[in-house]
Amino acid sequence: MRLLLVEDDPMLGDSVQCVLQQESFAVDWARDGEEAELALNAFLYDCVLLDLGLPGKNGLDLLHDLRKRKSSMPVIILTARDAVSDRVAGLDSGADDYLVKPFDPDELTARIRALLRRRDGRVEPLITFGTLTLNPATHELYCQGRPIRLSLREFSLISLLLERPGATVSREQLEERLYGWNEEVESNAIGVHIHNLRKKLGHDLIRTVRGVGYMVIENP
Amino acid sequence: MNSISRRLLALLLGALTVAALLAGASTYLKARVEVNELFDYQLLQMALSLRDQKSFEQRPTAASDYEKEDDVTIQVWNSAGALIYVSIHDAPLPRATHAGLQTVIFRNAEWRTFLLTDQGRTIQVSQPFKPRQEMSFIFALRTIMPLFFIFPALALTIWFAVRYTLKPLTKVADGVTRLSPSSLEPLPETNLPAEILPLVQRLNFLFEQLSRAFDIQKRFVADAAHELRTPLTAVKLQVRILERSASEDERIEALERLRLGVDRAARLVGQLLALARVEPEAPPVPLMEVSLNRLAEEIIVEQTRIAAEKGINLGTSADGPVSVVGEPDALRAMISNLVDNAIRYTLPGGTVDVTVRQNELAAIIDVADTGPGIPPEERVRVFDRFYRRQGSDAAGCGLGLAIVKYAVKRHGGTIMLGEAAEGKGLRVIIEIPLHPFNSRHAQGQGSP
Ligand SMILES: Nc1ncnc2c1ncn2[C@@H]1O[C@H](COP(=O)(O)OP(=O)(O)O)[C@@H](O)[C@H]1O
Ligand SMILES: [Mg+2]
Repeated sequence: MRLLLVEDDPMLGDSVQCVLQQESFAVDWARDGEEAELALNAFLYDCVLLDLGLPGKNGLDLLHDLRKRKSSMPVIILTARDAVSDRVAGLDSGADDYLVKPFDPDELTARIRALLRRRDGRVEPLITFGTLTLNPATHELYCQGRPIRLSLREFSLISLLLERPGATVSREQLEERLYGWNEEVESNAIGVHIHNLRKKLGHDLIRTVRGVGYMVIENP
Repeated sequence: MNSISRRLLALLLGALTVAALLAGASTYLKARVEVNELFDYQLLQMALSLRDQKSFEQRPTAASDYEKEDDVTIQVWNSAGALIYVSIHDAPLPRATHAGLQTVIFRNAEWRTFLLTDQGRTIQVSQPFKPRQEMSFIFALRTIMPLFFIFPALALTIWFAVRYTLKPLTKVADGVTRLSPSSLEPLPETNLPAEILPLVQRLNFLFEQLSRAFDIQKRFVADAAHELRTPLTAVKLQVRILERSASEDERIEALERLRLGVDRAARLVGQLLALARVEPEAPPVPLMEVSLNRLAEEIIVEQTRIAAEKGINLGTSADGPVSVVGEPDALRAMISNLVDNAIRYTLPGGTVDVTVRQNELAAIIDVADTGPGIPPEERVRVFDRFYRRQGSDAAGCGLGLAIVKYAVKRHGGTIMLGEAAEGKGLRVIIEIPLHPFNSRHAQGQGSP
């Protein structure tokens, strides 16, 4: 899951990024409106966390432009303005959710997950696939009811693949969605994670589509 | 009931009653003298008219009228001293001792008698005092009667007069009733009687001070609530990072993050309080003689450690003592915010110089650093509350220069921002007039 955080306050931006990384999200952090605009044009994020009081380009203008381009990227506004009129203005300009500072880290991640669920058309918070059950909130994966220990990266990877079972996801796509800007990606990092996942979940679950990428299919 | 109109009414009506009674009494006394003279004369006339009567076998015609009307008793003695006539048979008065008018006591009552001797006959005409008293009393009553009829009309008039005179007061009271702590409109001061005007003026003065204090309070709470949101969010997240950190290194890093977040929130609260104390609306505090060179030294001693840790050369120079009369806390906040800014924005290896000197008119505080400076087009905006230039360090909250501005304004001084040596760094020059009494309220002068 790759998120874009738009926040001008250095301390707050740093803290949000760190918390989300601990929750195994990949977070790009834009510190002003222009930087955010560049990032939004360059990449399709799973979710955007938008501060409204920005230097350069105002957060609401940014949101307007994004929706004008018919982008349906989920956007959560993070702001200190809590008047009802502000909330209405935020939601009316196309935000999917509105979080008032000071918010709780759990609330932030819960709302992000809820948005992603809605985007994927899922109602229940758990993702099930065959004998696998995946809980995005707790980062737990169960295989036939047995818990399986995964690293954060492995968990993100399997969640991505389970988002659209049967579809092929390229190695580049996976890299893009798993790593933020400032994270070094070793050339075969994805391959290593896939290898580990197969060891834990069985070799048949993740198929390699040679020259293209990976896909998950249900065991015959 | 404790009401001015009732009190006035009771007082005035009481005084009026007393006056009426006094008038009645004096009329009574005067009337008695006159009535006495009149009745005495009547007695005399009666006796004289009886003298001309030949015989007393028959009841004298003149006498019967008198008897009926005024209880007059007529007695006649012959030369032998035998009572030959008495108009009241059962009660003959004693014969008076000598001729003329006399007052005697008969049957426990005072009587007036007139005795006359003529051709051997003695005629005595007597009358009790009672009718005379009754008549005097009636006279007195007639004098004060009209007053008692006037009373209700008078009371009504007084009532209206009092209401009318107290109307301005009632209006003021109504005006005050309509006020609430959140809307302390001044009361109108026009058309007020001289007795009430000072009260209203004083009230208005108090209202103004009260609503000012109220505004500061409200703004402080609103600012604090709003501005604390960001550092508090950071602290919440930092606590979570600390909880989730797996290794010792991560834990140390997370703790440092958390410490910075708490420091920031604490600093913000301190700056908000300092701002609330120096704002133009804040009440004035007692002025004191403040030694600026000593104040600068104290502040530099306080901040030396931070400067040294950052590798900044912090120092002061003063040519002799410089003192102004002013608000000590405001002056301290002013210098300390300037030094704090200079240290924070100057890169390691830089220098911060604080100089205190004076000319004939003003004390001069001069803080120069070798940091990035502030471009001329930003030199007005940086004094705004919560304004921070882009790329400013995380520790600030945008209140420092606002505090400096207000502190200078409170002392009627001026601020100038410029470049330090060789066009590099920021140099702040503040002038505080040495004679504050001419300029305590010279507001606006200090605005940059
Ligand atoms: N000594 C200095 N050198 C360079 N820039 C400064 C200096 N002092 C203040 N500034 C600029 O002015 C802005 C406002 O300063 P201030 O009101 O003290 O707020 P803060 O320092 O908390 O950000 C700062 O954001 C900073 O960019
Ligand atoms: Mg902001």
